[in-house]
Amino acid sequence: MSNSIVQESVLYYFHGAFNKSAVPGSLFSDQTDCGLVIKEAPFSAHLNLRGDAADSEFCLAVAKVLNLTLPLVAGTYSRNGNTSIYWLGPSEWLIVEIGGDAAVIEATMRKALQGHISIVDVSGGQTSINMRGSAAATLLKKSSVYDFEAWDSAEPTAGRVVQTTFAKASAVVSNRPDGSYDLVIRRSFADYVAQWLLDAGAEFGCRVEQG
Amino acid sequence: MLLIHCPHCREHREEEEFSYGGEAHIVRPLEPEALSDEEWGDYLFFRTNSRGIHHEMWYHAVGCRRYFNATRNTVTYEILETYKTGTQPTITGASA
Repeated sequence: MSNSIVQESVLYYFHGAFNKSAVPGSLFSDQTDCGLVIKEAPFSAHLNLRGDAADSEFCLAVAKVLNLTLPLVAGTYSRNGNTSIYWLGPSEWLIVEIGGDAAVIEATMRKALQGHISIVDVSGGQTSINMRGSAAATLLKKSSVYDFEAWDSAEPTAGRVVQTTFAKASAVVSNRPDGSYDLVIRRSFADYVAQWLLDAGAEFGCRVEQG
Repeated sequence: MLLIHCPHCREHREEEEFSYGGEAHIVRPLEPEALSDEEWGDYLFFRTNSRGIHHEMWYHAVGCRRYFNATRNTVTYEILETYKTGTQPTITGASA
Protein backbone atom coordinates (compact mmCIF):
# COMPACT_ATOMS: atom_id res chain seq x y z
CA MET A 1 0.00 0.00 0.00
CA SER A 2 1.30 3.37 -0.96
CA ASN A 3 1.59 6.03 1.71
CA SER A 4 1.39 8.88 -0.75
CA ILE A 5 -1.87 10.76 -1.23
CA VAL A 6 -2.78 11.36 -4.84
CA GLN A 7 -4.08 14.86 -5.40
CA GLU A 8 -7.22 15.04 -7.48
CA SER A 9 -8.73 18.15 -8.97
CA VAL A 10 -12.32 18.85 -7.88
CA LEU A 11 -13.22 18.28 -11.53
CA TYR A 12 -11.40 14.93 -11.67
CA TYR A 13 -14.52 12.85 -12.17
CA PHE A 14 -15.96 15.43 -14.51
CA HIS A 15 -12.91 15.24 -16.74
CA GLY A 16 -12.99 11.44 -16.53
CA ALA A 17 -16.65 11.18 -17.48
CA PHE A 18 -16.54 13.59 -20.38
CA ASN A 19 -13.06 13.12 -21.75
CA LYS A 20 -13.85 10.91 -24.72
CA SER A 21 -12.00 12.95 -27.30
CA ALA A 22 -9.14 11.64 -29.40
CA VAL A 23 -6.81 14.39 -28.26
CA PRO A 24 -5.81 13.89 -24.63
CA GLY A 25 -6.53 16.76 -22.31
CA SER A 26 -9.34 18.40 -24.25
CA LEU A 27 -13.04 17.75 -24.66
CA PHE A 28 -15.00 18.14 -27.86
CA SER A 29 -11.73 18.92 -29.57
CA ASP A 30 -13.21 18.09 -32.97
CA GLN A 31 -14.58 21.64 -32.79
CA THR A 32 -11.55 23.74 -33.54
CA ASP A 33 -13.38 27.08 -33.73
CA CYS A 34 -14.77 27.31 -30.22
CA GLY A 35 -16.57 30.33 -28.80
CA LEU A 36 -15.79 29.17 -25.30
CA VAL A 37 -12.71 27.49 -23.85
CA ILE A 38 -12.81 26.47 -20.19
CA LYS A 39 -9.69 25.66 -18.23
CA GLU A 40 -9.37 24.86 -14.56
CA ALA A 41 -6.43 25.99 -12.47
CA PRO A 42 -6.31 23.06 -10.02
CA PHE A 43 -4.38 22.88 -6.73
CA SER A 44 -4.13 26.63 -6.33
CA ALA A 45 -3.82 28.39 -3.00
CA HIS A 46 -7.04 30.08 -1.87
CA LEU A 47 -7.02 32.06 1.37
CA ASN A 48 -9.74 34.08 2.99
CA LEU A 49 -8.45 37.22 4.71
CA ARG A 50 -10.35 39.34 7.23
CA GLY A 51 -9.08 42.55 8.71
CA ASP A 52 -9.76 46.23 9.28
CA ALA A 53 -9.59 48.18 6.01
CA ALA A 54 -9.29 51.42 7.99
CA ASP A 55 -6.08 50.17 9.63
CA SER A 56 -3.28 51.43 7.38
CA GLU A 57 -0.70 49.20 9.07
CA PHE A 58 -2.76 46.13 8.19
CA CYS A 59 -3.15 47.28 4.56
CA LEU A 60 0.55 48.02 4.22
CA ALA A 61 1.57 44.69 5.79
CA VAL A 62 -0.66 42.73 3.38
CA ALA A 63 0.67 44.73 0.44
CA LYS A 64 4.25 44.07 1.52
CA VAL A 65 3.82 40.30 1.95
CA LEU A 66 1.94 39.76 -1.30
CA ASN A 67 3.66 42.50 -3.27
CA LEU A 68 0.16 43.66 -4.19
CA THR A 69 -2.03 46.59 -3.24
CA LEU A 70 -4.91 45.59 -0.99
CA PRO A 71 -8.05 46.55 -2.96
CA LEU A 72 -10.17 48.87 -0.81
CA VAL A 73 -12.67 49.92 -3.47
CA ALA A 74 -15.76 47.70 -3.71
CA GLY A 75 -15.70 45.30 -6.65
CA THR A 76 -12.02 45.59 -7.56
CA TYR A 77 -8.99 43.33 -7.35
CA SER A 78 -5.21 43.47 -7.74
CA ARG A 79 -3.08 41.00 -9.60
CA ASN A 80 0.66 40.40 -9.77
CA GLY A 81 1.78 37.43 -11.84
CA ASN A 82 -0.07 34.39 -10.53
CA THR A 83 -1.26 36.05 -7.33
CA SER A 84 -4.54 37.93 -7.06
CA ILE A 85 -6.33 39.54 -4.16
CA TYR A 86 -10.07 40.05 -4.62
CA TRP A 87 -12.36 42.39 -2.69
CA LEU A 88 -15.19 40.30 -1.20
CA GLY A 89 -16.57 42.70 1.40
CA PRO A 90 -15.58 45.80 3.36
CA SER A 91 -13.38 43.71 5.66
CA GLU A 92 -12.92 40.52 3.64
CA TRP A 93 -10.64 39.52 0.78
CA LEU A 94 -9.81 36.40 -1.18
CA ILE A 95 -6.19 35.66 -2.03
CA VAL A 96 -5.61 33.25 -4.91
CA GLU A 97 -2.21 32.10 -6.06
CA ILE A 98 -2.28 29.84 -9.08
CA GLY A 99 -0.09 26.85 -8.27
CA GLY A 100 0.81 28.40 -4.92
CA ASP A 101 1.28 26.77 -1.52
CA ALA A 102 -1.45 27.97 0.87
CA ALA A 103 0.44 26.83 3.98
CA VAL A 104 3.47 28.95 3.06
CA ILE A 105 1.34 32.04 2.33
CA GLU A 106 -0.62 31.60 5.55
CA ALA A 107 2.54 31.25 7.65
CA THR A 108 4.13 34.31 6.05
CA MET A 109 1.00 36.39 6.55
CA ARG A 110 0.55 35.31 10.15
CA LYS A 111 4.10 36.43 10.85
CA ALA A 112 3.57 39.81 9.18
CA LEU A 113 0.07 40.71 10.39
CA GLN A 114 -0.67 41.94 13.89
CA GLY A 115 -3.87 42.39 15.85
CA HIS A 116 -7.45 41.42 15.13
CA ILE A 117 -7.18 39.55 11.82
CA SER A 118 -8.19 36.22 10.39
CA ILE A 119 -6.58 34.22 7.64
CA VAL A 120 -8.10 30.89 6.64
CA ASP A 121 -6.88 28.37 4.09
CA VAL A 122 -9.93 27.57 1.94
CA SER A 123 -8.02 25.87 -0.89
CA GLY A 124 -9.83 22.58 -0.37
CA GLY A 125 -13.23 24.24 -0.63
CA GLN A 126 -13.04 25.98 -3.96
CA THR A 127 -11.36 26.05 -7.35
CA SER A 128 -10.62 28.54 -10.06
CA ILE A 129 -11.81 28.26 -13.66
CA ASN A 130 -10.77 30.46 -16.58
CA MET A 131 -13.21 31.09 -19.44
CA ARG A 132 -11.93 32.59 -22.67
CA GLY A 133 -13.22 32.94 -26.20
CA SER A 134 -15.55 35.22 -28.11
CA ALA A 135 -18.66 33.94 -26.29
CA ALA A 136 -17.29 34.16 -22.73
CA ALA A 137 -19.02 37.49 -21.96
CA THR A 138 -22.31 36.34 -23.50
CA LEU A 139 -22.19 33.14 -21.50
CA LEU A 140 -21.65 35.07 -18.25
CA LYS A 141 -24.62 37.30 -19.03
CA LYS A 142 -26.93 34.38 -19.55
CA SER A 143 -25.69 32.52 -16.46
CA SER A 144 -25.89 35.25 -13.85
CA VAL A 145 -28.26 37.94 -12.60
CA TYR A 146 -25.40 40.45 -12.33
CA ASP A 147 -25.28 43.25 -14.88
CA PHE A 148 -21.91 42.52 -16.51
CA GLU A 149 -22.48 45.24 -19.07
CA ALA A 150 -21.91 47.68 -16.20
CA TRP A 151 -18.23 46.64 -16.29
CA ASP A 152 -17.81 48.14 -19.76
CA SER A 153 -18.55 51.63 -18.47
CA ALA A 154 -17.40 51.23 -14.88
CA GLU A 155 -14.41 52.95 -13.32
CA PRO A 156 -11.90 51.41 -13.19
CA THR A 157 -12.65 49.38 -16.29
CA ALA A 158 -9.99 46.78 -15.52
CA GLY A 159 -9.65 44.65 -12.42
CA ARG A 160 -13.33 44.17 -11.65
CA VAL A 161 -14.63 41.38 -9.41
CA VAL A 162 -18.10 40.45 -8.22
CA GLN A 163 -19.60 37.77 -6.00
CA THR A 164 -22.92 36.82 -7.45
CA THR A 165 -25.17 33.99 -8.52
CA PHE A 166 -23.98 31.68 -11.25
CA ALA A 167 -26.66 29.33 -12.57
CA LYS A 168 -28.10 27.91 -9.33
CA ALA A 169 -24.74 28.20 -7.56
CA SER A 170 -22.63 31.23 -6.67
CA ALA A 171 -19.27 32.36 -7.99
CA VAL A 172 -16.63 35.04 -7.65
CA VAL A 173 -16.32 36.40 -11.18
CA SER A 174 -13.45 38.63 -12.30
CA ASN A 175 -12.27 39.99 -15.62
CA ARG A 176 -8.71 39.73 -16.91
CA PRO A 177 -6.81 42.17 -19.12
CA ASP A 178 -6.75 39.60 -21.97
CA GLY A 179 -10.57 39.64 -22.16
CA SER A 180 -11.08 36.30 -20.45
CA TYR A 181 -12.89 35.75 -17.14
CA ASP A 182 -11.98 33.88 -13.98
CA LEU A 183 -14.59 32.09 -11.89
CA VAL A 184 -13.93 30.99 -8.34
CA ILE A 185 -16.48 28.32 -7.52
CA ARG A 186 -17.26 26.06 -4.58
CA ARG A 187 -15.87 22.54 -4.62
CA SER A 188 -19.30 21.08 -3.91
CA PHE A 189 -20.77 22.92 -6.91
CA ALA A 190 -17.78 22.41 -9.23
CA ASP A 191 -19.22 19.43 -11.09
CA TYR A 192 -22.58 21.16 -11.50
CA VAL A 193 -21.00 24.42 -12.74
CA ALA A 194 -18.78 22.54 -15.20
CA GLN A 195 -21.76 20.70 -16.65
CA TRP A 196 -23.70 23.96 -16.80
CA LEU A 197 -20.81 25.60 -18.70
CA LEU A 198 -20.70 22.75 -21.22
CA ASP A 199 -24.45 22.94 -21.72
CA ALA A 200 -24.60 26.75 -21.87
CA GLY A 201 -21.54 26.90 -24.12
CA ALA A 202 -22.78 24.23 -26.56
CA GLU A 203 -24.44 26.80 -28.81
CA PHE A 204 -21.14 28.68 -29.25
CA GLY A 205 -18.93 25.61 -29.48
CA CYS A 206 -17.24 24.70 -26.24
CA ARG A 207 -13.99 23.05 -25.26
CA VAL A 208 -12.66 22.04 -21.87
CA GLU A 209 -8.93 21.95 -21.31
CA GLN A 210 -7.34 20.19 -18.40
CA GLY A 211 -5.28 22.49 -16.21
CA MET B 1 -37.73 41.64 -9.37
CA LEU B 2 -36.32 44.53 -7.38
CA LEU B 3 -32.95 46.17 -7.74
CA ILE B 4 -31.59 46.86 -4.26
CA HIS B 5 -28.70 49.19 -3.61
CA CYS B 6 -26.08 47.55 -1.39
CA PRO B 7 -24.26 50.25 0.62
CA HIS B 8 -21.18 48.02 0.88
CA CYS B 9 -20.93 46.96 -2.78
CA ARG B 10 -22.07 50.46 -3.79
CA GLU B 11 -24.23 49.32 -6.65
CA HIS B 12 -27.73 48.11 -7.40
CA ARG B 13 -28.02 44.34 -7.32
CA GLU B 14 -30.78 41.84 -7.99
CA GLU B 15 -33.21 40.98 -5.20
CA GLU B 16 -32.27 37.31 -5.72
CA GLU B 17 -28.90 38.00 -4.07
CA PHE B 18 -30.48 39.30 -0.85
CA SER B 19 -32.48 37.89 2.00
CA TYR B 20 -34.73 39.71 4.42
CA GLY B 21 -33.52 40.18 7.98
CA GLY B 22 -36.51 41.56 9.87
CA GLU B 23 -37.10 44.88 11.60
CA ALA B 24 -34.05 47.08 12.21
CA HIS B 25 -33.03 49.30 15.16
CA ILE B 26 -34.29 46.91 17.85
CA VAL B 27 -32.08 47.58 20.85
CA ARG B 28 -31.27 44.68 23.12
CA PRO B 29 -32.13 45.54 26.74
CA LEU B 30 -29.01 46.37 28.76
CA GLU B 31 -30.20 44.41 31.78
CA PRO B 32 -32.33 41.52 30.46
CA GLU B 33 -32.52 39.98 33.96
CA ALA B 34 -34.29 43.11 35.26
CA LEU B 35 -37.15 42.79 32.75
CA SER B 36 -40.54 41.31 33.46
CA ASP B 37 -41.62 38.32 31.38
CA GLU B 38 -43.96 40.55 29.44
CA GLU B 39 -41.26 43.11 28.60
CA TRP B 40 -38.86 40.35 27.56
CA GLY B 41 -41.58 38.78 25.42
CA ASP B 42 -42.25 42.13 23.77
CA TYR B 43 -38.54 42.52 22.98
CA LEU B 44 -38.24 39.01 21.56
CA PHE B 45 -41.44 38.55 19.63
CA PHE B 46 -43.35 41.76 19.05
CA ARG B 47 -42.68 43.91 15.97
CA THR B 48 -44.19 47.21 14.86
CA ASN B 49 -45.70 45.77 11.63
CA SER B 50 -46.08 49.33 10.40
CA ARG B 51 -48.08 50.37 7.39
CA GLY B 52 -45.98 52.69 5.23
CA ILE B 53 -42.41 53.59 6.21
CA HIS B 54 -40.57 50.63 7.72
CA HIS B 55 -36.89 50.27 8.66
CA GLU B 56 -35.64 46.76 8.17
CA MET B 57 -32.48 44.69 7.83
CA TRP B 58 -31.41 43.03 4.60
CA TYR B 59 -28.57 40.57 4.10
CA HIS B 60 -26.53 40.53 0.91
CA ALA B 61 -26.25 36.75 1.02
CA VAL B 62 -24.68 36.00 -2.37
CA GLY B 63 -22.66 39.23 -2.54
CA CYS B 64 -20.56 40.78 0.20
CA ARG B 65 -22.33 38.77 2.96
CA ARG B 66 -23.02 41.87 5.09
CA TYR B 67 -26.18 43.12 6.75
CA PHE B 68 -27.40 46.62 6.03
CA ASN B 69 -30.61 48.55 6.68
CA ALA B 70 -33.29 49.66 4.27
CA THR B 71 -36.22 52.05 4.53
CA ARG B 72 -39.14 50.52 2.67
CA ASN B 73 -42.72 51.55 2.11
CA THR B 74 -44.70 48.46 3.06
CA VAL B 75 -47.67 49.61 0.97
CA THR B 76 -45.89 50.16 -2.35
CA TYR B 77 -42.82 47.98 -1.61
CA GLU B 78 -40.68 50.92 -2.75
CA ILE B 79 -37.23 50.92 -1.14
CA LEU B 80 -36.57 54.56 -0.33
CA GLU B 81 -32.98 54.25 0.91
CA THR B 82 -30.41 51.77 2.13
CA TYR B 83 -27.79 52.57 4.75
CA LYS B 84 -25.09 50.80 6.71
CA THR B 85 -25.77 49.16 10.04
CA GLY B 86 -24.89 51.54 12.87
CA THR B 87 -26.07 54.64 11.00
CA GLN B 88 -29.47 56.30 11.17
CA PRO B 89 -32.03 56.58 8.36
CA THR B 90 -32.61 59.96 6.71
CA ILE B 91 -36.19 59.08 5.83
CA THR B 92 -38.43 58.36 8.80
CA GLY B 93 -42.16 58.09 9.38
CA ALA B 94 -42.10 61.61 10.84
CA SER B 95 -40.40 63.16 7.80
CA ALA B 96 -42.41 61.32 5.17
